[in-house]
Amino acid sequence: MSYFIVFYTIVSVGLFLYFIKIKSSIVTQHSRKILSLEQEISMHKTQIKFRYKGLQKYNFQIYNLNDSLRVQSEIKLN
Amino acid sequence: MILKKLLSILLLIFCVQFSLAQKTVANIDSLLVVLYTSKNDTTKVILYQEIAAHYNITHLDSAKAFAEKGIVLARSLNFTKGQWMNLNVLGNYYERKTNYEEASVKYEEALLIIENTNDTKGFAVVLNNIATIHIRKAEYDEALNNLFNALKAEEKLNSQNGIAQAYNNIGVVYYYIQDFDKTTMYLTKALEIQENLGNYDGLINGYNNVGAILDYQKKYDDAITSYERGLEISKKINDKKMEATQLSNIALAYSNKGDFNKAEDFFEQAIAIKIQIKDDNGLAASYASFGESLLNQNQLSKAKEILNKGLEISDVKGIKLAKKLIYASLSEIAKKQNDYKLSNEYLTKFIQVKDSILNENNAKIIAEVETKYETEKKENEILQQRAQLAEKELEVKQKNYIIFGSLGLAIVLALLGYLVYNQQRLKNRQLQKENDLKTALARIETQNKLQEERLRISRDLHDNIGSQLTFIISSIDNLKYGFKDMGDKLSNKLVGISSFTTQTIYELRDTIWAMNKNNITFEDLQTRITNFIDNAKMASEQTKFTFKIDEVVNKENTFSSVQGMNIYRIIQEAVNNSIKYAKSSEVKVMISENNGFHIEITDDGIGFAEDQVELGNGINNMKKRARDLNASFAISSSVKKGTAITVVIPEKAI
Repeated sequence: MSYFIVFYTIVSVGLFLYFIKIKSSIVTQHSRKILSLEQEISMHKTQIKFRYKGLQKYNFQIYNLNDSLRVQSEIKLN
Repeated sequence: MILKKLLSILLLIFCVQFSLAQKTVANIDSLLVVLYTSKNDTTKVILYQEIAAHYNITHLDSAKAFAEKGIVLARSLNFTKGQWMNLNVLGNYYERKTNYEEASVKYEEALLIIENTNDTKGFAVVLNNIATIHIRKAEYDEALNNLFNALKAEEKLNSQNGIAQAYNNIGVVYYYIQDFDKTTMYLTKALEIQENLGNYDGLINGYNNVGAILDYQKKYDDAITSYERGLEISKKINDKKMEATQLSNIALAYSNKGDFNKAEDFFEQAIAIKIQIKDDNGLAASYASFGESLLNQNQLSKAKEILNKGLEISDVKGIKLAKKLIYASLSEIAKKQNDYKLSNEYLTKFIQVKDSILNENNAKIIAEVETKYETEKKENEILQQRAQLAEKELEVKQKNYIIFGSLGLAIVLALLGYLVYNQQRLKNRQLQKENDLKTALARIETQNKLQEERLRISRDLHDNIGSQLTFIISSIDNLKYGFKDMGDKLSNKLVGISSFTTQTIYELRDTIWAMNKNNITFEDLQTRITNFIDNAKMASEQTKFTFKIDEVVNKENTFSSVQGMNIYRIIQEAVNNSIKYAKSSEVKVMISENNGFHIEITDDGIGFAEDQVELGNGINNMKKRARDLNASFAISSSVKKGTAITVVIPEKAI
């Protein structure tokens, strides 16, 4: 009876520890992948921000509107 | 007097059983034929033994020769079982011949062979027969010792017949040593087994012994009935010796009952048979009983004559029991004849014989033997019980092992399942997260590349083409200031080129704007169209421009940059055509919403006949843009009645 308890306890604890080790390894590997992906995304976001600023320079609607304003050359009084 | 009567009964129930020696053969003649025709092998040895056993009961004198031949043949064949079986039958022969010394020798020889071969059954049989000799010689302690050993052997073999024989003989010994409770117990046990087995030999003894007890209890009629049953079976199996014993016992019962005539008749029948079969032991016992019966009838001289015959045989054969009874009766006769001296002599001899048979030492040894047997038996029972308990405990342990083993295995498997499931769930979650991030990364990469491309194109268009166009405008302005005396026609032409170039810059900027936008709101579009119309007004001051948006139009609507650009270009092209070619005084741009966008550009210009005029690139471009928008495009015009262009963009296309 006690032999059974000892045997199965050892087997259970062994299995438990083995799976904890595997889980730890999986979590570490995953964290590494996630970090790498997040870094890449972050890099792209930064680039997009910079490029957006660059593109804002070419928002010519403002220019066009400004250009469409005409200085009145002469004043006509009724 | 009671004791004396009892002793007489004891003598008569002396019918100890002989194992493997009392069976008769139904057809002895055919067996003899088989014997003489068979080869000298082990089968023949067995045949000798069977025939000798048969003759031991029916024709005693013939038995010896067959048994001896059997022994010789068995020795020559080195057939040990055959040897001890024939020696045992020869011992039976000598026992029946009252030659107890020779019988003992044969039985001991048989026992020696059996001990070397470890034959349990043979051991039990021969021990029983050795015990019989000891009983004959009134050596009850040794007899009991041998009988209990024989009983153990029979119990080991679980031989019911053998056990019954042992019980019977033990009962007889107790009878002789006057322990009647034990006698009754053992004889009852024996009779119960014999009845269950339907064993004739055993039943004779059983009925005989039960009869003896009833006789002792003065239940003479019942005793006679029991003896008669034994007698009937004895006759049936042709066992002369037992027949004589039953007759003698019946005679004694009648004598005790007081029916002396019948008693005398039965005594004479018994004595005749015993003389015939030369059963000296039985004969001595019958003489003793008959003499006592005559003494009770006060036939003193006849009684003395009969008793002396018995005493003679007892002396020669050393039959102590009969001798003791005879001395007692002779003492009584002498006393009745007032010969006290002789009576005293017989009494002294009676006491001597009695003392030799039964003394304190014997009783002690017997008690020890019995105690030893009982103790061993109980120990064996305890051991058996312990073994059974241990076996049950082992079974329970095994069951527990199976139950706990299965339970433990189930728990371990469940744990393993849970751990694997948990791990898989974690992996799935991680994979989902990784996929989401990868998708986001792909999207943001695409967006980034798009931005990069937009930036590159914008930079190329604006910084390159835009600067060149600006250079053209600057150059024309310089020309105007540098050549102040140029004619109005040239000056106007230069102004036209400058305006066209400026317009080109605007359009370039619009293109870049549209390209850089992901979405264009209706409001953006409205601003741009208004801007364009304003410019048009300045370019053609004599033309009236109207730009109207219906109130139902949802300002929150959005278009893709391409859609917005196509709508804008269609309106721009249509307005330009009205200004350039139609010489219109009024141009209207109307936008409404009713199951889609309705854009209508109308003018009151010179118009054209649709079937006579070949459409230019401008109109074809408008049609192409309308197709890109999945919109319908319609143009209607007639000479001097103006032109109307209608574009309907369905709701689902937006």
